[in-house]
Amino acid sequence: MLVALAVLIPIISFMIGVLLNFEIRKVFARAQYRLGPLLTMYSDLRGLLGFTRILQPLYDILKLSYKETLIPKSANKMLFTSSPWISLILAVAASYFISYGGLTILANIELSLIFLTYLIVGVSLFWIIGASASSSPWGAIGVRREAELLFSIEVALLSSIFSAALLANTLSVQGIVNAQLKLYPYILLNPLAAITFMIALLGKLQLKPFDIPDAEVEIVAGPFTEYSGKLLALLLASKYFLTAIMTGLFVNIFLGGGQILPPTNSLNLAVNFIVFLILCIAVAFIASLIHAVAPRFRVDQGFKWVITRLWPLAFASLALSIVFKSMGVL
Amino acid sequence: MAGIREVTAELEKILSPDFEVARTDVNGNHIYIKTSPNKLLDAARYLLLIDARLVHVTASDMGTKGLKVLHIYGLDHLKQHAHIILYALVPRNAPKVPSVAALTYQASWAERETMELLGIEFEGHPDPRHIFLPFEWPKPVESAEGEWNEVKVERRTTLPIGPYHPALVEGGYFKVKVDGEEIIDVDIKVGFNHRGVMKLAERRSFWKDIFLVGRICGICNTPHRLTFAITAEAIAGITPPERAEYIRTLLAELNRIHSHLLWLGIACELIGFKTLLMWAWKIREPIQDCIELLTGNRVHMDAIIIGGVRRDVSQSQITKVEEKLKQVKKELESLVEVVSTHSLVRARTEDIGVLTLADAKNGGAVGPTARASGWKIDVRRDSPYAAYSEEYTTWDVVVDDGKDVLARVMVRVKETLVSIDLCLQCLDALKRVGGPVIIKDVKEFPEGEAIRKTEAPRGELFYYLASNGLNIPQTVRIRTPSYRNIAALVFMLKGYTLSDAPIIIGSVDPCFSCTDRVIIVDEKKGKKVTLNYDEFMRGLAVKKLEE
Repeated sequence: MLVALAVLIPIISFMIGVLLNFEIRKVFARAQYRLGPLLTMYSDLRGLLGFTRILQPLYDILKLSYKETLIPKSANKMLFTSSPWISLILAVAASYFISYGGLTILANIELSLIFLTYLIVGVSLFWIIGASASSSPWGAIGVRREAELLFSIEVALLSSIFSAALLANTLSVQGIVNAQLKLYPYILLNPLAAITFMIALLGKLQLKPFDIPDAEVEIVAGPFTEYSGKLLALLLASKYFLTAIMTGLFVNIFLGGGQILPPTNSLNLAVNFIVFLILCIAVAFIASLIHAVAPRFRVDQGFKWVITRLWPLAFASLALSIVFKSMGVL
Repeated sequence: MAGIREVTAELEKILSPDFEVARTDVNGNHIYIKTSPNKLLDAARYLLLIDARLVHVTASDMGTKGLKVLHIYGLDHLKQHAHIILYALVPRNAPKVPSVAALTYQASWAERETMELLGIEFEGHPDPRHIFLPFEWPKPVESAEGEWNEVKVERRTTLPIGPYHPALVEGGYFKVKVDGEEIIDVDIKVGFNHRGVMKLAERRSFWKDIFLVGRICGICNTPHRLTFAITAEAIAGITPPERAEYIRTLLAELNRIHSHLLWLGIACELIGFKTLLMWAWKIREPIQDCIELLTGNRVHMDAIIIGGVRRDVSQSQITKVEEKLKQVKKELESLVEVVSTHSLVRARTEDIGVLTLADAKNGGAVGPTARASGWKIDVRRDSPYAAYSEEYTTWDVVVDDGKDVLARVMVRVKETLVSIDLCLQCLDALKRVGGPVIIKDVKEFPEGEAIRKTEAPRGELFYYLASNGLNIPQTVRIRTPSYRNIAALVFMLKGYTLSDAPIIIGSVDPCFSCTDRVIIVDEKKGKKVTLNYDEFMRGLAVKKLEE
């Protein structure tokens, strides 16, 4: 059972990531009067292209894995080739710490939230390390931007995560979910933290207005400029994982993890999982709407905005949790 | 300012004894003055002092007589139609002229171009490098080692923006030096697409040329054809019928609307606002439909020809176009509200890429770029052509004092609304005014020369044509608006960050194919294959190539 779960969870997480990335692209396209990846293929092309293109993000990765991988001569080869792998491994590891509607093996251990926060920082960190080893000026500037963004966003992200942990009085992801089941979802109790997390999620996933590191009209593809073929496929895969993990974490710590039924039998687990999935899609929908209607921050504006607007919000959410705690309402 | 006659009298004092009014044009408002090469600099000093614009510096090969260097000064922003054209003949064996670029930056690119095209040496030019040729290209016109302008700052990153870069659809090269994110210095190289349209035009008849010049730029093809047509008409001494003037205005304004909307979309993309890009281009579609309805083509209208227009506009077409324009106006107004009030758009464009009025004058900015710096120049008002003068249509020049990227956005957007108004006025007039749309008995072009300007979407478009009595023009000289605005970018980029570079470069609406005067055609290798859509879908391309 444990072995089966250990194999199943990364696959589930990855497929959720693919689905959510499809959704982000679709909403983005529809907001622009475009079609985007087709949900149902034109009838005359079904024989050729399949019934649906819902797995388009996956096909992108598959296509890339057929392509030639070019490594710049002046790059630090070891770091350049290993960091996508490490980034992906960290992302896979992080996926174990999310509770997929009660389906989990590591989310219920003590301190799982701490492990998870380390791992999701690590994913972005190794994007930076790989790009800085690429010796490309575009990569270098992309790295600088990604690092600035990571530094500023991470503070807000951690504050919002730990204000939820404070409310639940536990550092286990499943523990926070269980605490919410007894009371309310924490989005009602501490909406400030949820808003902070939502904005930080945009920054982590490099969605507008925080897609500063890969502003293609300025710095080509930013940190990913020199990556191609299989290595780029790995980076994309880690990004899909991160999409699933970030939205999953939001659902877990603010929306009660979608666990509407007690996880006693497999039918209840399946229902919980579907509710979890729907909540994930809803969160990603909001993120992609913001992605569609916002232009990009300039790097200094983004940094300044995060520090002057988001940080106070994050600290306020932390304070709100402490107030609830000291009043003993929990 | 004093009238054109007073200026001429003053010039006579400065230039005498080398002063001769060779001929006049446009009711004595275009004055051609012959002088000696050494006096050109004195004249330039005086004319720049009275706020004249140096429209272009060019030269024409006059065969055994030598090379004719022309300085075209525009005074039309001070008095309607007023232009002074100074020219001097220099010997072919040692062509040397004092450079005006030392006095004013706006002559810099024009003189570099003339150096390359005709081998005239401009003495004292501050930056005598190649412009269209690669810098490494050998002499004779080579000088000053032809290197990139180096900046003596240590430990700085040099970033190549172009020739091929996602921000620039066409080939231009901006060598940007950055310290972290801040731009310290910038050097511009164009010429990656140069194909010599001007030389090509000098080998074809006037009738074929008009199709050639339309293809200089796909986006503003109508202004090119219009300018060529009115210049050729000036030489031939004909006036097109009134109805044709209205149709020309209508087409030129439709061209402006679609060009500005296209630019608005690209500008939004440059600040990362992809959704507005798509919206702007969706609004542009009905305009393309109108153009197709009126001329039969969606992009290259090819409607204007010498003597009038190719095709009349029917009553039902007028109704349909009116309907679509009104719908576009409504959609555009809501789009304008989004652009002008969106806080992030403002944050990305306000106080970015400031071009002061003094820099705009010195740098020779034209069109919306100049108007956004508070300089009220608009060829449509200054030297009215087609149906732009007051007896035909009523409209206002849009000026903005913001001087930044936001001002350039707002000027273009407001101009689009003005253009829609102008189109509607033209359509109204077309209901009233009847008559023919073309004069067909244009048989020959007498000996003569003419300059004419029009307001293309990007700014002032200048044509100089000289005819020696054949049906082939002796000299064709074109100065496109982007040519000026790209040169003026040097003043806008320094001191801003790398993230701002694309939107600043984009804010002048650069059109490199205008600047280089090319159309991209590569027919060297392989056979040309024509496939229809069905054949393409069935994968017959390879098969046909093998046949």
